[in-house]
Amino acid sequence: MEDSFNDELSKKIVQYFDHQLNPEDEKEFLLQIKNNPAGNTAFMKEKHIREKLKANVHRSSHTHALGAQIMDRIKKYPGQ
Amino acid sequence: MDRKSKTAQERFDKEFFPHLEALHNFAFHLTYNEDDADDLVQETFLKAFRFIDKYEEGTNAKAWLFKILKNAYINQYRKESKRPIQVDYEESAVYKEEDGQYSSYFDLREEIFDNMMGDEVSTAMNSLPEDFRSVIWLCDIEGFSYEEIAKIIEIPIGTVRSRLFRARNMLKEKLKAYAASIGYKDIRGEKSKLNKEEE
Repeated sequence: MEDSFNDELSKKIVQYFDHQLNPEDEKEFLLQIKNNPAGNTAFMKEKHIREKLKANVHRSSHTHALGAQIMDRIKKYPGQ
Repeated sequence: MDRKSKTAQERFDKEFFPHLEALHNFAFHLTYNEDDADDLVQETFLKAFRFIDKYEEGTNAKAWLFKILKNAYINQYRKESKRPIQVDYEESAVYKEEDGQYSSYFDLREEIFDNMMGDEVSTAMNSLPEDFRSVIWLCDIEGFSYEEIAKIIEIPIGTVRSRLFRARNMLKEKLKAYAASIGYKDIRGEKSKLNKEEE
């Protein structure tokens, strides 16, 4: 079991969450992380913080009326 | 409504409308105003419907809509507000792809988020310059790839990467400042400094 955490692994963690790894590299990376406790800790932390970021930003809650309004305009004036 | 319009509307319902909320969130983070965000989203959908023939069925509808929205924002709202164009100071520097700049979040303290009510992240995000805010939103919130972001905001992939690198660093600094203001002090760097001094 490898427990070295370096810049390369750190970069791959970001690339993984940014969808920058191809399926083969992704598979290899997940295996590498699984066998690397320090890397796994950083991976889980990155995942957790990104989820928290997503959960904490302001989101619209009243788009239903807007949707109906848009559909109405499209039905009335399809060429517009 | 004629048959052609009806078919277009069915495609519209199926492929485009599910992205309404995501588009509205992005529009709000560009305009900071619910009414302006409504108008921008409405304009986006009307344009998308008008040019639906240019959309290739089954391709990335979400990215296509985001691109229309971003262009509508640039053409209308940015012009109207007469804001000075953000200086892309990171673009004046020569970007070297081999530098491989990537900014992670895992060096942040997770406990910071446990005490946040939600507004703090939005406030920190909203305080970033628009160009930086946009890449963070598109990548970290909406999950677009660098290639998709490059197409949406019409900048090279290298610029997406460097802008994201700078944007995340800025956001982290703001979140750290917030954490410090509520009593969290990141002493990890100081600890290792002390250890080195002791050695």
